[in-house]
Amino acid sequence: MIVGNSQSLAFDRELVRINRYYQDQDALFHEIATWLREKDLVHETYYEALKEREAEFPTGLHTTLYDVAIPHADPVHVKKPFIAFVRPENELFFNEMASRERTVKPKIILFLGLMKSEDQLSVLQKLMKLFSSEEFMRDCVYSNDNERIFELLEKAF
Amino acid sequence: MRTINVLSVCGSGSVTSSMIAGNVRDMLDEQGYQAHTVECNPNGVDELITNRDFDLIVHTSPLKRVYGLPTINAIGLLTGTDEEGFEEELLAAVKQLKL
Repeated sequence: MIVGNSQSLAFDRELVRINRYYQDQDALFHEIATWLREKDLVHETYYEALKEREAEFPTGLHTTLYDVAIPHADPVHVKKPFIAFVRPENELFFNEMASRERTVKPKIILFLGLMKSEDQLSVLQKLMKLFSSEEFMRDCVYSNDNERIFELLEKAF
Repeated sequence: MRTINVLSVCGSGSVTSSMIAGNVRDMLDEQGYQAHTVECNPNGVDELITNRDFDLIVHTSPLKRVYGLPTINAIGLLTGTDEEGFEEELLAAVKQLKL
């Protein structure tokens, strides 16, 4: 999913990556950063920035349905706005937002590459609604069809 | 009655903290209170609370240290998993204030 410059959102079906194994959070960040870099969506500094920000301001969320995470780096490391959907096949640990003690095991991980904080706010509000939608989350968690997940996200934004 | 000053803290200092601040103002408004909110990131807290009086802190990222103010974790409000719990805590903290 590629988010347009203004409020309008553009999407990319290639930004859905499911059922892959990642050794740990760092391996995940490394692979995703390389992937996004190949697509020319982020700067070279993205990986380090992502890792540092997650360490300082964790993004794991425990919601009513499934745990999720929304890792992101500061806008300066992003070239073009995007949201990448990642659903690992194994369990990974993220620290919970606002806490240094608790961890969550996110079923889905959305890498948010947003460039302006005004955009981030509306995207975040939409995401929070989606995370509490049973239909949306069920498909996100169980569907093995990239196309289906892409359509869901596209429809939602 | 005076305005309640709320400091809303998140990692970026602008995104989730704005969302939370809006919700806090609405919740307090419904109860007949008037609130003023300021958003910042955890590094900005010290300076802000030294320079002006805040009544409480709501936050979605870990705070750097313990402050002499009531602090309320706003994740339940953000995700919708515990809006009521957050509101209860908020109103309980507000009732302790001298307004």
